[in-house]
Amino acid sequence: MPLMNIMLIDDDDIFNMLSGIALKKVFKEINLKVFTSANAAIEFFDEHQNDPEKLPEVIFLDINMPVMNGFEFLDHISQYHEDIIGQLKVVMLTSSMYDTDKDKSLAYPLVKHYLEKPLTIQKVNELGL
Amino acid sequence: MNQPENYTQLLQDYSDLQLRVTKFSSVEQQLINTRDLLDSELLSYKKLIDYNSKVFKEITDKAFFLESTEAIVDIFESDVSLIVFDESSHPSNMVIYAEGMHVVEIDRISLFGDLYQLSADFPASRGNLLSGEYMADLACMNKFSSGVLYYFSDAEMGYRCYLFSLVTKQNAPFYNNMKDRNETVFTIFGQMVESIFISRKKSEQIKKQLTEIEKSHSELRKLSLIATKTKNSVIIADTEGKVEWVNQAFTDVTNYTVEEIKDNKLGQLLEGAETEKEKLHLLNDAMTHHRNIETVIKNYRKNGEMFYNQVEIIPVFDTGNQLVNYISIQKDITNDFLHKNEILRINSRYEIITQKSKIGIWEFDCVSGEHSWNDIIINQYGARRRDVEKDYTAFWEAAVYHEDLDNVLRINAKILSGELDFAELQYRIVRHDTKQIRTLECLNISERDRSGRVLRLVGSSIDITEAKDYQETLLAKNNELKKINHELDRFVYSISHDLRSPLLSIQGLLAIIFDEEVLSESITNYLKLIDSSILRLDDTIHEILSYSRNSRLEVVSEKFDIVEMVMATFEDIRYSIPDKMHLEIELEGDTVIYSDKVRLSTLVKNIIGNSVKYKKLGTDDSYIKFGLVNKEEEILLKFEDNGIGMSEKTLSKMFDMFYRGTSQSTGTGLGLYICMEIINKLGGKVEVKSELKVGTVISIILHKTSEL
Repeated sequence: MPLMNIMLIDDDDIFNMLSGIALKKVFKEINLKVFTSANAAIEFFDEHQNDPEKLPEVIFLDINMPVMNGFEFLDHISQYHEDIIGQLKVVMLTSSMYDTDKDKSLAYPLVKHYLEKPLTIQKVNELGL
Repeated sequence: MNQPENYTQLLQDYSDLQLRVTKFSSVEQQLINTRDLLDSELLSYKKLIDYNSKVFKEITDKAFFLESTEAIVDIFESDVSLIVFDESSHPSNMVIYAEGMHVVEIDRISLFGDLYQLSADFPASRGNLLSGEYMADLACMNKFSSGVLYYFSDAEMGYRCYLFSLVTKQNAPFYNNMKDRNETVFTIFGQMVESIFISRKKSEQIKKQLTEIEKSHSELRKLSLIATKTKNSVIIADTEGKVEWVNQAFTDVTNYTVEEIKDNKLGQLLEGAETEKEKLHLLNDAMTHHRNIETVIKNYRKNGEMFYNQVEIIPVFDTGNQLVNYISIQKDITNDFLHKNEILRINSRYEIITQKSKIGIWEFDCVSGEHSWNDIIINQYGARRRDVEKDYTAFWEAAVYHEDLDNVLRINAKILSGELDFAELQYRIVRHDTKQIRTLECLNISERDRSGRVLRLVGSSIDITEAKDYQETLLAKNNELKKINHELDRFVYSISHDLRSPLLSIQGLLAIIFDEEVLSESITNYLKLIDSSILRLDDTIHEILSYSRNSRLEVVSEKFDIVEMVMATFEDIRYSIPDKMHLEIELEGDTVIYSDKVRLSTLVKNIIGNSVKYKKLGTDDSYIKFGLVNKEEEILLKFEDNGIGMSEKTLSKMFDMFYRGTSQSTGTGLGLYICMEIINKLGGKVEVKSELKVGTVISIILHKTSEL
C-alpha cells in the first residue's frame, strides 16, 4: 500500500500538531506535509507539478490565515490542471462559527467536508478516507 | 123694333166686341208673357235650388267658387261670370274665378280699382244692376254692356267677395240684357252664396277649434302625465298662491300628502329655521308681480330634515292675460348641492396643498401654443410674471443650466412627439434673480386625444435643492455607517476566531491527554472540569456572536428547506448526550420556505439544543416533535418535547436576558433571549406552553415575506 499524501495548511502550530496526531493514529502509513501558510503550500504545488506522486490526495485547510486565507488558496488551486487536482479532496478545518463560511466552502467542488477544529480521531474515522 | 136702329146697335156692339177681343188678346198675350216669365223664373229658382244642393257638398273653397261661376252663367244666361275673393286687400292676392273669360287676361290692378269703385257706389249684400254706361267708366269692366253685381264682406275675418254676371258688348245682341228681374234673383243667389260661404267658414272654424280642442286635450293629458310621473315636484296653486294639487314626487320629497298641503300657501309648510328670509321675499315679490322666478332655498321635510330645494314658480295666464294659476316645479338638490360643495372644498384644499407644498404647475397647449405657469413655478425660477410672459420658451431655455439643457430638450421632444407618455426629470436651473443654481424635480405628462395626437403638455416642478443636499448628506452618512457596520462585523469575526482558536487548541490537547496518558482519577476529574469550562466558554462566544449579528445585520431572505435544517441540527446535537433521543416530524404544506436562513438556523439550534439539554435524564424515550404548517400567509413552526418542562415562574422569565431557569443550566442565559430577538426581527410571534416533568411546546408563527 503506497503512502497516502496528506497536506495540512494552518497558521496555528498547535492545531497542526493535534491534526497530525489524530491522522497518524488512524492512518499508519501517511506522508504528511505541514504548511503554516497557504503561500508555502502553493509553492510546493508549483515545484512538484510534474511529479504527481508527491502531490497530496487530501488537504486539511484552515480558513482564517494571514496573507492568503483558505478561500483564496482554494481559488488558486481550482485553476490547476485536472492531472493535479483530479483526485484531490479538500477538508475544511476551521474554528469559524459562521454558517456563511460553511456554505461558501462547500460550494467549491474540491471541498468534500467541513469540520470544526480540533480534528479528533473520531472525526477522522467519520471522514472515511 | 126697328131695323136700322138695330143694325147700328149691332155695329156698335161688334165694334165693342172687337175692341174687347183685342183687349182680351192683349191681356192673353200679357198672360202668356207673364206665364213665360213665371216659367223662366221658376226655372231659375229650380236651378238655384239645384245649385244650392250641389254646392253644399263641395269640400274646397275653389270647387265651391268654380261651381258658383258655372251656376251664374247657367242661371242668369249671361256669357261671362266672375267671382273675386279678396282676403288681403292687395291686387296680387285676389283669387279670381271666371267662366266665359280667361282669368290670366284680367288686369288685376285695374280690377282692384274697379272693385274699389263698385263697393263705393253700390250697397253690399244685394243684387245691383250695372248698366253699360256705368261700366264704360271702369278700367276693367268697360267691355261689358250690362251686368249684375253682388258683393259681401266680413270685417272681422277680413275678406270681400264679389260676384258678377256679365254680358259683353260683343255678345250683347244674342243675350238678354240684365234686367230688374235679374237683380232680384241675383240678390237671392248672392245671399245664398254669402250664407253658404259663411257657413263654410264657420264650419271650418269649428273644425279647426275642434282639432285644437282635441290637440289641447291630448297636450293636457301628456302634461298631467308628466306632472304625475316626473321626479320633480309639481305644485299647482290658485291665483292667491294656495295649493290646489301636488304630484307624487312632492309627497316623496316632503312627506306631505295632497290633503295635508292643500289650501296652504305655496311653500309655507316647507319653511324652517334656516330658510333664507331674503329668498322668501324674492319668491313672494315675484308672485305678487306675476313673474317667473327660480331660486334655491333651504326647505324642510315633514320630519324636520332640511333639504336644498330648487324652486321655480311660473304664473299661468289665460288668453285674456288673466292669471289662472301658479305652477311650481321643485327639485331636491341636496345631494348635488353637497357634492358641489365637496368639489369646491376639495378644489380649494388642492389649491392650498399646491401652495403649501410648493409644487409648480405649468401647461402648454400644443394647439394654441399657449403657456400657463402658476405663481409657484415662477417663484422657483426667481422671476416675476412679466419676465416670463414675454416668451415662456425663451425664458425657460435661458434658465435651464447649460449642461442639463440638451438632455431635457431631448426628453421633452420625445413627449411632444408622442414617443413618451410622461417623463420624470431632474435638472438644474439658474435663478433669474440671484443667479443661484437650483435643482428641480419635474414630471412632464402629455394629454392626447383619441387618435393619440398630443394636445397638451402638463407638468409639475418641485425645487428639491435642499432635499437633494440633505439626501446626499444622508447617503454619505449611510455609507459611513455601512462601512462601520462592516468593520464591526469583521472585528467580531476576527475576535470570535481569535478567542475560539486557543480554546479549541486546549480542547484538542485535552483529548490527546485523555487518549494517550494514564492519569490519576483526580487529575482526570480536573481535566474534565477544564473541558466543560471550555465548552461553556465556547457556547458563550457563540451566543454573543449570534446576538451581535442578529441585532446588527439586516434580514436576508432566501429559499431553503426548513425540515432539512431541523433534521441536520438535530443530528449535530443528539451526539452531545449519552442517551438516545428521536425526532418526529409532522408536515403540512411545502417544506421549502422563504426566510432568513442564518437567523432561523440559530433559532432552531437554540430550541433543539434546549430540548436536548433539558431532556429527562437516564431515559431513551425522549423525543422532539417538529411540526410545520406552511400556509398562504404564515408559517407555523412547532417544537414539542417530553423533557423536564418549566414551572410557571421560569416560563414567565424564559426570554429574559441572562436568565437561567435551572441549576442544570450550563449556558449564558442568552440563548432564548436571542431567539426572541430573532423572532421579533423576523416579525413573528412565539407562544410557549410548558409543564414541569411533562414537557414544553414552543410555537412560532412567522409571517411570510414576499419573494421579491
